[in-house]
Amino acid sequence: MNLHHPSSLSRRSFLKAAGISIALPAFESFGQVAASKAPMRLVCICSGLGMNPESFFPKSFERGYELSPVLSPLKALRDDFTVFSHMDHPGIFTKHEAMNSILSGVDANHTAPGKNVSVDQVAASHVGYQTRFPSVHISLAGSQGSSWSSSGIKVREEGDPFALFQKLFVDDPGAAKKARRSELVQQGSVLDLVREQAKRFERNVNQPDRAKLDEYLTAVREAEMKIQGMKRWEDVPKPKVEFDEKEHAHSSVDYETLSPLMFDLLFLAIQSDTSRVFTAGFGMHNHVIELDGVKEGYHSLSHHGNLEEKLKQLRIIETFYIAQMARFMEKLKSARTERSHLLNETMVFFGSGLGDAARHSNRDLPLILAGGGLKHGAHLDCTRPDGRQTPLNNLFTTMLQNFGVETDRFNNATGTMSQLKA
Amino acid sequence: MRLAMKLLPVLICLVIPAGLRAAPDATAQGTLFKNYCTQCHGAEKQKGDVRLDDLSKIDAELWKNIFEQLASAEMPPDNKPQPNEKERQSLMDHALLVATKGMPIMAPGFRRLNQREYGNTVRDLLGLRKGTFDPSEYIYKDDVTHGFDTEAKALVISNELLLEYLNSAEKSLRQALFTADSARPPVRAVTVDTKKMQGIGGSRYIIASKDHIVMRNGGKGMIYASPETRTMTTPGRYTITVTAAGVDRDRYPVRFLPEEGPIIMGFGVVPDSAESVARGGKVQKTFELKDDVDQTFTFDAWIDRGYFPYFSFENGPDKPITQIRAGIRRGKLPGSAISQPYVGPAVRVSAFKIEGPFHDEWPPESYRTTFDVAEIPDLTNATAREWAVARFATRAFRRPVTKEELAPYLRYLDKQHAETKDWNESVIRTFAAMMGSVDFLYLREEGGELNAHALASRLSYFLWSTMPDAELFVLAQSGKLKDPAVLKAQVARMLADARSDRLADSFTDQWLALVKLGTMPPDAKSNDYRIYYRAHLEPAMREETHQYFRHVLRENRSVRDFIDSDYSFINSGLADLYEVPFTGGKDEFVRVTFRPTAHRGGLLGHASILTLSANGVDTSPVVRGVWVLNNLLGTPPPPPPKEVPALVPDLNGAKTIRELLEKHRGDSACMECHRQIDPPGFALEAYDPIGRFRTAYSKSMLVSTEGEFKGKSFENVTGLKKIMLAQLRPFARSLIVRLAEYAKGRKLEASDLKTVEVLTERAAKNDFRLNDMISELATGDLMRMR
Repeated sequence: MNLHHPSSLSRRSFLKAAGISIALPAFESFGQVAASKAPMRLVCICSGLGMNPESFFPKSFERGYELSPVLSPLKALRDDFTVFSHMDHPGIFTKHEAMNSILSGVDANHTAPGKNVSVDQVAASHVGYQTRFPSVHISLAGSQGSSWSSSGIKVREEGDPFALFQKLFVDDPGAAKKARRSELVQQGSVLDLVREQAKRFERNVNQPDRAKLDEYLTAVREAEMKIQGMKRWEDVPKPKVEFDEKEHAHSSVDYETLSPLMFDLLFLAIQSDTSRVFTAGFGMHNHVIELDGVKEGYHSLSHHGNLEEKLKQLRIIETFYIAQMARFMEKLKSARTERSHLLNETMVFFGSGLGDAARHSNRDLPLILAGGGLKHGAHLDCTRPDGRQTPLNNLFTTMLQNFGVETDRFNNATGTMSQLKA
Repeated sequence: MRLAMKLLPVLICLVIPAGLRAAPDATAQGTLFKNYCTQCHGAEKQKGDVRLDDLSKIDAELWKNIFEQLASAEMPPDNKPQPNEKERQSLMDHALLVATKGMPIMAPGFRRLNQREYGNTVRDLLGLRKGTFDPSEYIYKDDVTHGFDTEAKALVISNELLLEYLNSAEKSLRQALFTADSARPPVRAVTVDTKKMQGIGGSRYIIASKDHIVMRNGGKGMIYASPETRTMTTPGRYTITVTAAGVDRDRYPVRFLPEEGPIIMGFGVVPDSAESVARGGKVQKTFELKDDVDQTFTFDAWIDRGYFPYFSFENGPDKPITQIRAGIRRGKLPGSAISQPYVGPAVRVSAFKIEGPFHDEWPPESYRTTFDVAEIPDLTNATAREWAVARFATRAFRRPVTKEELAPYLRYLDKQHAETKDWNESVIRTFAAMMGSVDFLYLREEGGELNAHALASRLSYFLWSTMPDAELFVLAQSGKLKDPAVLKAQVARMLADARSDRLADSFTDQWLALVKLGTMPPDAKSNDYRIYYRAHLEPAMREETHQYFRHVLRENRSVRDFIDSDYSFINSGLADLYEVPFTGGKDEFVRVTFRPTAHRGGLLGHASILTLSANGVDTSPVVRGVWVLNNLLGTPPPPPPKEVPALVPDLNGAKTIRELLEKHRGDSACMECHRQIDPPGFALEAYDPIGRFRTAYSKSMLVSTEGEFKGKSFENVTGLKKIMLAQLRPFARSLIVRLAEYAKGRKLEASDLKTVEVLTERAAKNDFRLNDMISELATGDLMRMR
């Protein structure tokens, strides 16, 4: 764990302006272990309704390509990210439901439980409780999540900035803490007991029953590890930051307030090393997103029927997503670390399980990867020699390797993306 | 294999039709296959990758599929030569026989309680039925999107879920065993200081003063006592006294919400914790207030431990300020109104008193149920403790429990007491541990014929979605439940009980994919769909279909009513949507009889079905057609070829989806499936994305609804339903299969299908009456056997 000193007053006031501020002294004392290598982080931003391919994909390839209109907010960062064309999850044809499988490449409904773990959860298990939270998951209005645990269950998301803030940065009052500690001890002993009870069944069961018992015993073992991990952090005070309640979004579609707040909290969580793995989902819904110029429901807009009036509104929304990503990347880039800056130590992925949502296509997914010390700056044509698209899990394999996970195949990957290796 | 062999000799309950007894000889089968199958599934063509010219190469799974295709009259297709009834039966018998031999039942015998079942079970186990506390709110919802939420295979467990179960169990036990010393808690009266009252909605709309508190916002807004006093630490019945009036109706030149009628105040309770997944409160009572005249209301409400009471402005505006903006826009209000304090209509509460908790019985229901005795046991007495633990284990595990099984829990109890010196606390912890065990969380079924306790659980979870009640338990204990007459009487009792609504509602939700309703709602800001939001149609639509299924079940109507009928159950909002006369009260669902011109009747006229099969934006005959084949008729079409993207109407040129589809069907590869899928969808094009009848998409684009289904042509949905009614048997058969899957928590195997045929035959002789159909299912082999 290393220290990231918020270095200037100006950034502090920037945080304040965003409704959040970080108190320095407590923060500096946080984190004691010196690591030989800078830790890597992974942030996966997902959109539920694809990106209109016409306005998302740049028309030219390689370095020096021309940015598309929707990507324009990333202009100042163009050497810090890569855009991928002609990439997909080859086994996925599930239309809207593909938002569930964007981070795994596996259709959860047609696989054995646990065979559809998502890339973030592989990274999270790698970190474990070295940080307070192995991973943090947020929903930016209507997201149903795309993160799957190794046991095949969807990971819970936090949608309320205030609740997220409390979870990440507010210590429980003393009494609650004490109760929490005793609850953890008690749950630990309950787990001991129920494990012994479950083992009675182990004799004389057939194969499917055996599998069910294993599932249960695995859950018990993982719950024990989780409790151990949580206990380890019970007495460590949370990093001290302030949060301005007035900055509450006034509705779930108040994207202009909600998104920056949530991303600021993610930034603070990264900076304080509260967690190293994050997912953030812009959801699928049919509400009118409160952005200037948007007047129709989001899902209605995605079925634009090539009407310019609808396409224009869709561009506003999609440009907003990219602008949020750009703003977040800029904050990471301006945060110095011992070795360089946080963006160099954070992979920021953006993608959607739908390509062209107007036709519910699961091909040609809109994909960006930024930061993480990888080689960036190009728009890559990922069409393979046989004319097919490169599996997105190849990129995820490379990202996991860069994260420090020893793997040569994530789920159904067929290789890696050597172009990104610096 | 071993399991299947075991099953065969014990098919005692149902008479096996003669046709199923002997294997017809193989050469005769070969001829039939040649005549009716191998033209498309042979050496030359292998449609759907199926090849049937060499019978020795067909595996058990495919034999089962052949049987299903024949039984549901899906194959051979209607445009190909058909076998006669005898030939079809002979093929079916052979297919089933071979499939049964080759397919052992491999479904797991441990089935985790799903979220709904868990909630019901814990409330019944602990006697927590009076309040709104719901143990399942602490459990994340099961992510089952295909099949039923009872399917053992899909009900996986994870560390997160296990910890949620432990947490919920402890919370529930603290709710049930709430007093530390087993004594009746004292009654207290608290007069709430209105000045200290708080609320949700912000200081612009909620203002508290010494004399009263006013709230001007509706929606999710609420007012309640200050945090120090608001939350009940003891569950019980409380007497609430509140003095309130409606005020400020006419402070602006235009009328604000509610424009007409009295201001309505709601009363509800809400959990005081951020942990509950569903954080919203539940309104329990509403009061019509008089304008500017205080009225005092006194009433009783059950409030659970950790909950607090609140008041709401039921017919108030969600965001009051938008009315000011609209007023300014229309020139009715001066521009300065936006910067003035908002003084629109309000609920004004000037006195609020809470008295309680009252317990009419002591010990209360939760103690009597949890300990399963009339008096609270003396936990300081070792024998009493042992009995208490044994009784709880028996009920929690839904079966007799051995001394050896109890020993670890008794040791745990002693250990907890050594630590806490508190028997009540130790009992809570021990019971919570039991509720985290495999024995409680899983329904356990062994192979072959179920034992009486497993049968009791299966019946109870099938019909009631909860643990067996005392009567069932006693009959299981004595073994009498296995007596066919007793079993039949129990099923009749359970179906007549109100708890069978849980079967009706959950089964309907999943059979018809009602769970999808609301996932793709129409655009809230679009004028076309204003009624959807204004009349709160989404819950109303769901309620219509629930009530309809319940009615068919309760009244033992023929399942024909699912295809067509002349009635339904609707409220005023749905009546507006359907454009039919309505005489019921506000918010009331009443049975209406439709005239033919209403274009309703049967499930295909339900707005719920028509909305969930659209996407809130436009309708697609393909999506609706797939819904009809897959959900309603149980004959799913093969999945679409993977590389073909969906059709996209280009709204700049005016082409209907039908024109696009017709072009698509011109391709013979697409034609094969779309000739089945599209026609029902075409008929349903007569309904828009929220189920309103229409004859045109726009001024210039008319809807055309004609098509051909099962080889017969139809003009519109009425004609389509007629064709479907002629095929009632395969429809009923598929419904039996779905019900059996829901009940058994697994997909049916070949060895189960014999019984399905017998049940279908019996149903056919009885006009396919639903209640009888379910009773036959629940008393037959499908229920009695693993």
